[in-house]
Amino acid sequence: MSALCNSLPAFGFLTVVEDEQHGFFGGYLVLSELGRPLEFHCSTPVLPSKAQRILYGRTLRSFVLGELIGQTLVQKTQLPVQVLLTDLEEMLGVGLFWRGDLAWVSRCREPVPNDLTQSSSAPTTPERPSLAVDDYQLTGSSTCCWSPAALNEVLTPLVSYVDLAEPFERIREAIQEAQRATEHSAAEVNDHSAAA
Amino acid sequence: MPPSTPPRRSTIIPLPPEQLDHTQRFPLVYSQSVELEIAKPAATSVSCDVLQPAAVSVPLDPPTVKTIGCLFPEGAAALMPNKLQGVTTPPPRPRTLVGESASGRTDLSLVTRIRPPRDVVKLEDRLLYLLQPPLEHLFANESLEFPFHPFPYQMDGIAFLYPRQEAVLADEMGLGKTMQAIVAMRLLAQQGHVRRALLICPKPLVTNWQREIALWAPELPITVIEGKQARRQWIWENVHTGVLLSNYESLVRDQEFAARVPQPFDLMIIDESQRIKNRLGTTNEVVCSIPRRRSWALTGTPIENSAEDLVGIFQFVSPGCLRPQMKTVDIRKSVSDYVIRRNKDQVDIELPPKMFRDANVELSAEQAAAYQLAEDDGVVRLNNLHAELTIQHVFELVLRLKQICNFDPATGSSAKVDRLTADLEECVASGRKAIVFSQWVDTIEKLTKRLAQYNPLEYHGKIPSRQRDPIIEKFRDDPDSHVLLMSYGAGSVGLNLQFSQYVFLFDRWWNPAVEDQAINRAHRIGAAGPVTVTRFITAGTIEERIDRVLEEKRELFNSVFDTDAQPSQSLGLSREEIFGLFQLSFPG
Repeated sequence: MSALCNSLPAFGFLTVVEDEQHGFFGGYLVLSELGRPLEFHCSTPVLPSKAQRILYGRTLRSFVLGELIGQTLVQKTQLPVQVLLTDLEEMLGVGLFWRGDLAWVSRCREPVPNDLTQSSSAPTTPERPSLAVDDYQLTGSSTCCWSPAALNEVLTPLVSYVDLAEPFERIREAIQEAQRATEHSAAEVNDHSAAA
Repeated sequence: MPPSTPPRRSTIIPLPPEQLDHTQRFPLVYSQSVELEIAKPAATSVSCDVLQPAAVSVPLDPPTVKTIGCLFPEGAAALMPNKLQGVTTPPPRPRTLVGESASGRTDLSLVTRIRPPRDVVKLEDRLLYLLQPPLEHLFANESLEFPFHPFPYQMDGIAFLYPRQEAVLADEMGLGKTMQAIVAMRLLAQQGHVRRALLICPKPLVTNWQREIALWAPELPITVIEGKQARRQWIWENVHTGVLLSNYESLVRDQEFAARVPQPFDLMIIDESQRIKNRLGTTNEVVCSIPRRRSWALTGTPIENSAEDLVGIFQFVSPGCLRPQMKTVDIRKSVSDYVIRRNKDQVDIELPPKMFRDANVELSAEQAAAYQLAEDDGVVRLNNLHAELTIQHVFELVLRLKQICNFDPATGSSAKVDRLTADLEECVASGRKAIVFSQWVDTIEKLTKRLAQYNPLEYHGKIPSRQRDPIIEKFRDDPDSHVLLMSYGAGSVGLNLQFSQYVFLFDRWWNPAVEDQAINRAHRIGAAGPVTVTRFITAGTIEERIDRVLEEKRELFNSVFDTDAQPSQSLGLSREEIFGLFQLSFPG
């Protein structure tokens, strides 16, 4: 696995779409460094029970996103990735199960010069590593141990071709498409059953 | 039996006061002992069993997370061991994305996404399209450079064509259909989906396509299928890469070779696809017979006469999608995912305004006399034909009358020319350029003589093909060339004449679409200023009646392509209506 990781320039993007009625839909996209899709997985909706809502309280989202959805999707994926990026802080819980580099991507408040050579390592606390790349702030979880300089090097080819927030938009559209397809299939099955 | 003992009663009798010991008040001393009977209290036992509390188990098994997913071909290839060896990282490139704002941030709302067409059913295939990078990123990743950034609506058009095997790009003239098709083809070629493409266009546009391909896809080799038959045959059979370019007339001659190409074309594009609107015509048959994987049709006028025109075009694009005699609403529904059409009002480009003015001129005295005579005689003759009367007879009379509206055959008198001369004087004086359209070469030749002071150029069917491009260049570049006289047939399609500010329709074509094509030679992207269109109509003549017919045809077009419009009940120009131009009854 680690050998593959070293030789395959692939990058994982993990996010969740929240729906009031159905719950949480997860999506995981593996891209080449040119931004082309290599692999994609999405989850069926996860709707926490009332008991879980009560018992997990404020930690419910990080439990559902990171431990349930994120972990499942990452484990389903065949292609190893060099780094796993998410646009949801609660998804950092995946780090409990995944040993690679994991970072939460958020917009910088102030634009950073877009020349990657000017990417700067933001002040890093011992607990949560952090890195500024292009217009984005990359933050690790307290269990992460990546070094900003090393992560910067890994991401260099990717960010020259891909805007780091853009793949999450693709995932959201793909989740909607998969959801539509699933509902359509279910409706067809129901129609067949009714006809039978 | 002993007497019963009375119940013993306790009576407390206080002592007389003298017997009281006053030293103490208490206790009372009673004179009599009292026997008190105290009842024992009832003892009640209380059961105190300790109850076991009920235990309620709350299941907290985490919900099962099911997944749907796929490994795309590129990902599967990357997993193969030999692919993992020597994977090289391309050098980082500077970020030059179209959607980037001035601050360098990418505005994700500005990027163009590729969406799968409806006929892609398999979820995996649909996801593959949806998960592609935005078009702007694809261009950048493939290092595709363009002479200028396409407009957003053009990016939408490219994103529409790119995933489709079957498509009609039906933008209004002047919005850049040629460029959109070339760029989409280039992207497909760059990604290895298209190795050999066939492009069919009207003959006068071959050089235009060559020029546009060289501009927008310079790396694509172009082979024009021309020359003697043996050469053409060799090209059909042996050129396996790049773009093959032919024209409709030549294609009909090459039917035998075209239909028997060794491999299907990866992409076939037909420009001005209204050329195959007649689904029973030879051109349609030949075009449809060519083996191909993708079929794209380009046209600014998908409907020229009736909705049946679309049936002919779709025989090429997606056979079976449309049937003859379909209702307009059904046609609209059936073609909705295949056709993209935008007009200039819908797209966000700052195109200068297009101003119409109808030049209603009165026939000169000579023309009026000739016209009246011709119409009276003609109608009498038509009526005398009775059952032998055909539509052809009516057309002949219409053409005759229209020619008189242009020039009096005996004297050459022309009210239109007088008006045109006056207008051109102003146009030339201001250094502007004007295009004058007519249906007839004969009219154009007459105009050349009458407008000699403006040194007009001619562009029509009698001009050999090789001489046509230099004429356009002279008109564009020569500051002393102000007027171009064109026939609708030769000059209405494909040419870019946006340096002209005036268009004159000296006589009216039967078809509003052809007129629009002509007008949009000047009113298109790149137009330097407002375009003024002058439509000549001679009062009280057949031209006025035809003008009403043209308006009805515009209504038909809108009923199919304008979603806000209600389908018209009176579609197209019926035979009855043509006969009605002269109040004739349709025989039989």
